[in-house]
Amino acid sequence: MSAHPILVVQELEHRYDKRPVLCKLALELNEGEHHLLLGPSGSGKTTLIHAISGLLEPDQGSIIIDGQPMTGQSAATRDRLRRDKIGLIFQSLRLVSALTVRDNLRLASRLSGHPANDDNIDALLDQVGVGHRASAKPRLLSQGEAQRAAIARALVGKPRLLIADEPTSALDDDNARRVASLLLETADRNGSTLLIATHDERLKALIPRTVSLVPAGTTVQ
Amino acid sequence: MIGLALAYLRDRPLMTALNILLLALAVATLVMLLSVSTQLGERFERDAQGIDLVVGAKGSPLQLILSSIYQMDTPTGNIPLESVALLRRDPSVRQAIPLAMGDNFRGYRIVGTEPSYLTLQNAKLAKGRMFGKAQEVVIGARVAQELGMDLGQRFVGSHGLVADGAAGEHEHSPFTTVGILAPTGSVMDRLILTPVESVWDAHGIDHDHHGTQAHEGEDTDHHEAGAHQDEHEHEHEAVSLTEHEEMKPEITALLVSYKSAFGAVRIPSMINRQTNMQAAVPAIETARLLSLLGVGIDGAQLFAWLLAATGGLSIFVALLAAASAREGDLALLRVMGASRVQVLGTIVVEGLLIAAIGAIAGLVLGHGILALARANFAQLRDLGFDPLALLPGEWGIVLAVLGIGFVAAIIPAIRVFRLDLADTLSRSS
Repeated sequence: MSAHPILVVQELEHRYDKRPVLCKLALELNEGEHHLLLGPSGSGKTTLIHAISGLLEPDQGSIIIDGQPMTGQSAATRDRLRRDKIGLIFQSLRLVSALTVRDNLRLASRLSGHPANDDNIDALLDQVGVGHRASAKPRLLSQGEAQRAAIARALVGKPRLLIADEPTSALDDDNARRVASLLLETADRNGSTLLIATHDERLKALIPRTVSLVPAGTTVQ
Repeated sequence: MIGLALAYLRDRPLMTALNILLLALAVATLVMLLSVSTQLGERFERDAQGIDLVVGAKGSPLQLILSSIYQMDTPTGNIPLESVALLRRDPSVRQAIPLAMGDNFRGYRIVGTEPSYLTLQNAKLAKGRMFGKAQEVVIGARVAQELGMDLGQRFVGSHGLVADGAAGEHEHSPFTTVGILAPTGSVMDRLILTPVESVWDAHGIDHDHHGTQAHEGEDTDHHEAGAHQDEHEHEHEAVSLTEHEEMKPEITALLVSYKSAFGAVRIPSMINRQTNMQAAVPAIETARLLSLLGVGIDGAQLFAWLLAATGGLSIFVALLAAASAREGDLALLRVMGASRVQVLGTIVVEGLLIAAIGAIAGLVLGHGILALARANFAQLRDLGFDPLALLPGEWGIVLAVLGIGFVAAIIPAIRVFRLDLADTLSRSS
């Protein structure tokens, strides 16, 4: 049985003010695989993640998510595809500030079109180790707790592709290892394909499949 | 999105409370002004219905109108009983109803008049019958309710138009309640009505027994003081008669309605020029009063709308600041799957929620203050003022405040709508 591709990126190019950021970039992730997208600052990691997530339309090339094209689509179609297929985790932008952790997950599940009941939400929060902080507002969480809650928030919509942008950069070694392990575990448990974009070399020990991005955005597998 | 907007409001309680307070104060002020001016106008109109002219003693025409139609001020004085006949003889006059005042029972005015006064005011008997002879009274619904009075009850009036423990009581001429009026929502509710002769008797003024009717068709000089004096002999009166032996029966005012429009041209000027009485036109005097009040009301309304605009500006500033501070949150919402319209909606709903809560709080506050005012000010009770009456105009105020909330929210919301998601995420994450 051949592997089912969840993400296929072909000939991707993007420029900011004529400055090339991504150049003829190609990438393929199969179902259930975990990849590290490693590169220094300015190598185009965030631009690639935004293009994969449909947050920006690249200048050239194509992106296919679980068989559906993300490029060449209207903004509304890209929004819908992102909502249905992708879970995103950022370094510091983790949760909606006015809502409790549980309410963040409730809202995320409703917006994703996969409404989860409170039992499922609490189970997911327990799974990432912040069940006891379900009623807390984000500002009351530690960095590690907030990142764990953000992982739960990204997973509650059962995404096919989980993308984390610099999830461990602000964390110490111990917390970085825990968060990365948690990402791998929860992605496995939820059947999601995982792509972690980072410049954090510490993660290479945990995730052997590495795609290296060099400035001007070409990949070295 | 409503839940999210509420969460954002709860997240900054002080700013939210301040904005709500500003709008609530504005709405409360507007509601109070609307309620007082509308109910005052309606009340004036209702009580003056069918009365084209009031004839009374010389003095302030407004005072004459207030005292005789609205029972709110002291009368300007008395006029001769002969004035009734004078006006009733006039072919332009359809009706001239006498009023004789000067006494009260526990603060409720005792008004000597004729049954036609009740007909004019559309007052209907709820119990008992119409007064027929002197010392019989028909009481208004509020008098009966407040004083717990019923048919057959006897009481004595006190001198003066307001309750005053020091004022003398007319113990020699007690009244008997023979009828109770159904509520009218007019001045009738708080009056004690009796034949004019009762008022004369209470003051020991001698009169013939045909009262105001006897003078129709008679020359004004033909009143015979002291006629039928025998029938009023009792100890108290013996003293009074000595004191007032020169007093003639008088009335306080005459409520006149015309048979033809010609009366309106001729009668007021005839009375004002050729007699010692004055004629006041209710429509003119109440319009003058309302326009005097209107200047104050307009000023206060302007102030209240400025307050509402300040509330709107405050919401605008708060939402604009919130939209900037919340860019990361809003971008995250978009990442989580919220559409642009949904994200715009959270800001608009937030503005509308502040406006709606402010409007409701303002309605409650306004009517609450009016209820307190009614409980503490007899003048409002005398007007039959209903502090809880919801007027159609109040919904207009609520809609206007919602409009202010919407306008205040729409510019910050449009900024959010135009948010460059990738750029915001790059800056925020």
